[in-house]
Amino acid sequence: MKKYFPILLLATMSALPIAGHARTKLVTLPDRAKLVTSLENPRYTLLYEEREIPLQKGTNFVDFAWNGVSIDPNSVMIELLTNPGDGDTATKIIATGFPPNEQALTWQLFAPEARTERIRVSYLLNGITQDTSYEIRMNQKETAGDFQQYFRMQNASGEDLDNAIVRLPLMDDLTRSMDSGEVRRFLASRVKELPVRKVFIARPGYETFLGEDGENIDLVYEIENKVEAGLGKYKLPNGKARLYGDDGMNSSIFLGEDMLKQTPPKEKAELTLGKVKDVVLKRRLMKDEKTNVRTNIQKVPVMFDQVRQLRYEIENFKEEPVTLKITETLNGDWEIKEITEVGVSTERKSIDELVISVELPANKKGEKAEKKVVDVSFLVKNRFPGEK
Amino acid sequence: MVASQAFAKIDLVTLPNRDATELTIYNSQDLTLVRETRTLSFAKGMNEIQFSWANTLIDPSSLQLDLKGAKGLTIQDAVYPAGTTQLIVWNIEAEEATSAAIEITYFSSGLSWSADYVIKANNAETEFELQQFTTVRNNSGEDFDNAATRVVVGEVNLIQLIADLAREGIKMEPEGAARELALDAMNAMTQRPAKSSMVPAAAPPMAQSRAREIIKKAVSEYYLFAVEGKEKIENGWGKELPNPKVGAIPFALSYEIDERKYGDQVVKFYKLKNDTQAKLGKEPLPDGTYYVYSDDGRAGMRFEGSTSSKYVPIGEDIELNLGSDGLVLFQKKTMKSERTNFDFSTNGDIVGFDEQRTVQLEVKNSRDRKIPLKLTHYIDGDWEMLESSNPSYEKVDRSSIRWETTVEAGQTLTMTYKAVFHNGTRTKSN
Repeated sequence: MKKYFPILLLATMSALPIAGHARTKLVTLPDRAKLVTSLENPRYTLLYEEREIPLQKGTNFVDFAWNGVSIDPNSVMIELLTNPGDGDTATKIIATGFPPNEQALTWQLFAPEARTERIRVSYLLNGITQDTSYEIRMNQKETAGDFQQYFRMQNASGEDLDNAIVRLPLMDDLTRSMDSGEVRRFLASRVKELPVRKVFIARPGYETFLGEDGENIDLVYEIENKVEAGLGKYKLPNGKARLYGDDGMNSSIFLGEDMLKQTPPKEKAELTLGKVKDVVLKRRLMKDEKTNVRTNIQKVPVMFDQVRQLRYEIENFKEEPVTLKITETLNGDWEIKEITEVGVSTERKSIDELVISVELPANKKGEKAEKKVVDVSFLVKNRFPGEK
Repeated sequence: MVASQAFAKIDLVTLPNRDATELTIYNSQDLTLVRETRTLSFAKGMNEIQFSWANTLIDPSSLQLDLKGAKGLTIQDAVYPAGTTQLIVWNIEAEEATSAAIEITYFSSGLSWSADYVIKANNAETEFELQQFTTVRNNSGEDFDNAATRVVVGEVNLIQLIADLAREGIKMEPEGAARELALDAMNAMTQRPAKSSMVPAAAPPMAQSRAREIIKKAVSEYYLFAVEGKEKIENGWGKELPNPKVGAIPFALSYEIDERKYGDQVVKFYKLKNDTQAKLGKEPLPDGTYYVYSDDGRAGMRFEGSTSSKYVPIGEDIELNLGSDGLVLFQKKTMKSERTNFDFSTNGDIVGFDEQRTVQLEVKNSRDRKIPLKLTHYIDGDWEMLESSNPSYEKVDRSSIRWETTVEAGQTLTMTYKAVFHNGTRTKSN
């Protein structure tokens, strides 16, 4: 059995000063009554433990040593839980001594009578790292998935954590033992049928037209961190998400993985898993004209408007209807002048991001896929020479 | 007994105990004024009192011996013998055989002190308990037993570091400087008030039964914090002494966004004033590190952050920057930009225009409670606000505005504004 560090030791002396040689006759204390690893602070790990220690009447010296454990010595703190306060009957913390060249300190406590005192010792511990990962096992229809959120903790602190309460921000406590050097993964939350929306997203470059080669289309799964979906209580932290698909043969395939970006309640998370091959998007620049050109007296243009017409030729080879989203990156004072097709919606996300959503019907088996052609015209006003 | 131990560094040939020691430790410089009282026996005639300090960090030029007005004793001179660097001999003439309590003072390097603060806030984050700790560290090479400890807050000027003076030993200054120093020393000698018994003889060691009171006093532009009682502080050791706790101190929680100060992070603050309303304000708070905890509502504690703070005078604000807790997020987006109101030169070139920009600021609060928010937003250029969804902002200066508002638990606060920016000849200000 490995020894736990840090070690808390007790020596009771009547009037012995805090000094190196005063800490030789020491008694090992009872095991920790409670141990909490608080990971609520995003940068620091706070560890605190509670123990019942016997105190004799008068001055008591309690040693705390942390050989081989990386602790911020300035953060080590003792609190009295049974008899705190300033009154005559309270146990008192008189001083803390820091011996030279030792990973240790000594508390000088005064007890007005022999008693058992419950103390809490806390400190900031280095070497604990944490991350979050997700696993979603999709149903065969890909409408919902078994969502599992895992919390992973690596203990490289040098300290064994026995029956530690692991306290995470805005999550329920977990109780686990963890030896130094171990990595553990805990299931932090699970929603067996989390609605998942599968969407296809193309993110073409503003000036890049691939024509016949077709644009890349990302395979994206959307989940919403909302109560109606079974989540929405806490923020979903950053973490790698892996998705698996039901292959209909009592087995599964790996669909892909992506980093889930931290998602507060009520927000949507997008996971890009791969490329779509059964939907083809050809994007062409049909028109790029300068209009309303204003010139100076030398007839040199000083300002113009720009009309750009983009054509999207889309074919869905899948036997199911899909939504294709095209994210265009734009510049300047732009507006949409015309969209030739019905069933196309747009959303201005910001000055440089427009999302065009196109609903595509299912391809009928054995028939040629229907090609949908959508023309979108933009007017960009008051551009200066040199601006694209 | 210092002089008889293997590690004893300071030696008086007559080997008297130190009756009392007082350490006055500065934190702005590596400087401690050590004042020790010893009772010496004198024979009639000339007495040589030898004081040595091998392997310690004493500034030899600072050594002073004060006879404390003892009758029939006269200091003839002080000698630093040839070939020695850590030895002084005082020649003292006694009219009669006598004994007297003398006082020796000197500057030492290697002792330091620091202040730390522990704050424990309630779960509602409306009040906290504050405890200040004073930590003394002794790396002077000398053990101090039964020492009265005083620490000084303030900036003291030194021409030369005490550690350098300790290393160099006795070294003559350039002529002018030497004369001034000698004069200063003489003045110091003659102006020192004659105190018959500054420190009483050492009391027998007793069990300390409570945290020590810290007696605080303003002296000139310095603050002196004197720790009640006597301490043993051995070489190499540090000793942390708790001050009494101050409970139920009201404070203000604030989340702040300021891209120039904190980037895109939303930073959490605990704020208060060093005043009586906050149950403080009796003395300044020395610079130090604040360790801030809160009640986590689960019968435990949460570490909010640690932050260092400068010296806080009485009445001054205390702002504890706890960093981002990751639970409040900020995003800024420009939604639209339109150019209008063009000015043309006689040549037809554009020499000025306005740009109307619509900006959206979004703050997402993932906490389970309403939070106060201070959002400082920068708008550069020659601009005017046209419309704002939250018009109750303060114009801090020509390039920044500030909202002070709240964000409900679990809600997103979205604020938009439209501003016009004047360019070229449309510019109205410099």
